Amino acid sequence: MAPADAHVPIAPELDANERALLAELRATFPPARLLTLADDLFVYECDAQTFDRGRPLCLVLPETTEEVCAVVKACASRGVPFLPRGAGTGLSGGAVARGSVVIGTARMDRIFEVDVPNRRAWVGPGVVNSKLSRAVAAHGLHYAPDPSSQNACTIGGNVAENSGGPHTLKYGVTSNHVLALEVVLADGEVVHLGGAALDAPGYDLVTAFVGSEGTFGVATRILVRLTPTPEGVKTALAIFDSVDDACRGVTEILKRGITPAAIEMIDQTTLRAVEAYIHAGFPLDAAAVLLVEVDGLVDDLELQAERVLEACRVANVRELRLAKNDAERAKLWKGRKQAFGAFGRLAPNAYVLDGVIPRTKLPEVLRAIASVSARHGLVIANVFHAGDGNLHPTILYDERQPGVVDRVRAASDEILTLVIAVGGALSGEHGIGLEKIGHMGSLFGEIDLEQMRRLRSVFDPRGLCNPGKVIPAPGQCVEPGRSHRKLPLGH
Amino acid sequence: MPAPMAPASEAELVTLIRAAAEAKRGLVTEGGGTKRHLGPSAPAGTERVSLRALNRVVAYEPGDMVVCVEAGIRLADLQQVLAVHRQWLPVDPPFAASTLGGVLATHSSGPRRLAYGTIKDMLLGARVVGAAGQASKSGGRVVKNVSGYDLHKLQVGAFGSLGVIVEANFRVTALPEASAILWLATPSLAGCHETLLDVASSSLRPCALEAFDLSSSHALAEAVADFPSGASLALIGIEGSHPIVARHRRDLAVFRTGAQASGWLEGPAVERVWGALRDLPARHTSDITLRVAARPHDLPRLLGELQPLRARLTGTAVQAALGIARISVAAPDDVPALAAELSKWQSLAKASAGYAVVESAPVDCADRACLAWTAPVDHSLGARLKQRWDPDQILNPGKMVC
Repeated sequence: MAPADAHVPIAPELDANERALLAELRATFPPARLLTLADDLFVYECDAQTFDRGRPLCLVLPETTEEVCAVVKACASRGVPFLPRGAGTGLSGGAVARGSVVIGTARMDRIFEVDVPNRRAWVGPGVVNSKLSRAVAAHGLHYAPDPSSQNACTIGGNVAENSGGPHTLKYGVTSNHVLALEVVLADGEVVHLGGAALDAPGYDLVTAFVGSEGTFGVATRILVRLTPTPEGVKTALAIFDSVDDACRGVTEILKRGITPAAIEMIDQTTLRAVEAYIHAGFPLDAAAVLLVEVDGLVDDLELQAERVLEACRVANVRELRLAKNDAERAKLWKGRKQAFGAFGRLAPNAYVLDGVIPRTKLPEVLRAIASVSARHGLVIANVFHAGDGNLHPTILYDERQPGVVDRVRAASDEILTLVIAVGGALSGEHGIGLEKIGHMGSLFGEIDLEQMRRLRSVFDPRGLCNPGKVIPAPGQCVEPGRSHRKLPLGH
Repeated sequence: MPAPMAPASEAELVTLIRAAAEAKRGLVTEGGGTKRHLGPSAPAGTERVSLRALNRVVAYEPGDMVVCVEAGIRLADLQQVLAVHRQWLPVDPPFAASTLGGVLATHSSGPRRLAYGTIKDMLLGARVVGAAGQASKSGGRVVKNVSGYDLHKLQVGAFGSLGVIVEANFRVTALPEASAILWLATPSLAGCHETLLDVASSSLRPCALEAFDLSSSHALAEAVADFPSGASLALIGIEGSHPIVARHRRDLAVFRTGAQASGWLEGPAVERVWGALRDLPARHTSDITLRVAARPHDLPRLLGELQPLRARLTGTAVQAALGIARISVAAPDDVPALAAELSKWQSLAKASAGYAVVESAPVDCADRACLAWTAPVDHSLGARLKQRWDPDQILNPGKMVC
């Protein structure tokens, strides 16, 4: 073993096993790549959802698959849990690491190979989503999944969460874009799943791994599909005087056989916050707008736009504005993608929810959310992927107000209950993590959950990899302190 | 062959799987019974279970564009239900009598996968009965979902070895308003293949790019009067709005100049071609069919290296932009000798980051066990999965090699 490095301090409250593990890691990692002090670890206590927190044992920043293996083997031999972490932009507490070793992928940010003719790229897990798209833009390609956090979030994090984004309506989510993975399993074994050729024989373990929220192992190399950049794009802003009409606009558009690249809804609360910040020209008096984008070959964009207009007319649209040029288009999208940042103007804290409902239930559920908002005296903004039925009600509050956090949690639980009651899903793209683990029992039965545990145990028999996430332990379906009141639908 | 057991409800299926589990007796599931020649054989002593009696549309809300069906429903029957609302499940797998359960279990796909993806991309959730007779669900009936692990997707292509799908939920799509097919006849399959890769690299968005060798083209010409016999065929499918079809007709004209004959098909003729492509694999149930796949632009070279056993060749179909080829050969008397030849193919394919495996062989072929049904991997996760989920080998034993 290499001599102990005086620059890597070890906290005295750790037990002997943890101290021994840190000593072992010090032999491999220089101080800049191994953080152990409480002050340094503070930002790693939570992800972008700040309710759930926990102090990690340490953060290591490996640069290679071999280094990830070394960390995982060290953890495995001492029975210490670990988890991978990308940019920490997750929204379900999936990267909270109480007492665990955090394997940060920030330095595994190489694009290893771009295969232009076959439209694929091998990337490290730490590659930032939008950086990959920029790197291949000159070849007329892009990486299609585009979460709002795409300027910070990593491909590895996207793989863990099976991330979506506005354009997944047409192009699909992360799992539709991952072909192969190199994974370090929980015992340190390096395995290769999937392949460069389609339909590899055997079970589809790539699709199983994508969306496993870091509980199946650490992805160290990822083969993704690259998508040709569309020849033409048209972006329209449809302005509605009622939320119900905007919702109807969504189903009318889809009914006409067009698959827009995106249909996003932005409500009045959000419009006002965004407009003050971005100046995109959003109408402040509208009840809601739909941001509708059609793309593809230039030949039928006109026709598609006409059909969008026709659909919106049936739904009583007030006005439909077409972006005249790329600058206008970029502004509209900036307004949409920076909505969450703009909420900072309205309240110091914003809690983003994530649920998916059948699209025909949009009016009913949005009305019910408005009544939850009124009942709890909380402002709830709605800016979401309407074409997918993927809601993101965002509760705006000030955590310094006494008792407000309890009200926020209660309102959020009520909204999730609503979503499930209409046949929806707990999460469309943010994951279960810690945040929703207590709700899993309301969507799935014990047999369903047991089957999921059986899959996890195939990848990680000892449960060392991101323990306590996604699937509740047997009999642990309701998190203490959370209400699960059944709510009537509607007002 | 005695009639299979045919449970009429999930409860009946659960009962019979529990009985089998108790007796440690293997079960082999089937739907339309069209793909028995796919994959290795189950060991002797297993019993057959048909899912055909479970064939209802459980729920269909056209406004949500989501449908929930029982596994035993025929794909063709489901398409009729959806067509009333001008929608379809955009898959076109082989074998007209296929059931949804069968398409899922074998991960079957057809030419238009290029535009729409496979059934796995449309599968939103499922109810599955496991090896101990326990029914469980995963996913849901919404189009986007990350609530828990996607266990249902693990069932796709698993040949029923991890569970029996009882019910499945799919996202559906609006029927295209226009479609057309450009066919090109050239002297060689390689020529067709290269042409289609050029189309794939262009800015055009075809829904299918399929190439066929002389034998397969001959078979297609029997079903579609427009096709010439005696040449290799390249087919370029287009679906979408009228302006999209018009654009392709204009821009694809350049590809016709190199062909010895070519033509555009529209209207009912297009449906006839899709039907002929769907029925083509049924001609090879008595052959041994290999699936060779690589990165699309590596596949032409790989196919050249394989030097197919020309004397025995009965058909080759290439999905150019997907990088998948199916090569059928007449089953020889000496199957082990063929198997030995194929092991060389496996290493050549591996060197190109691809694979070559046997996809089907005649049901009555005595030496099926010696064929290479799978390509080697560097881990035992698949075997561990089967062991963990079905330790007594009750569900479709032997059908999935890990």
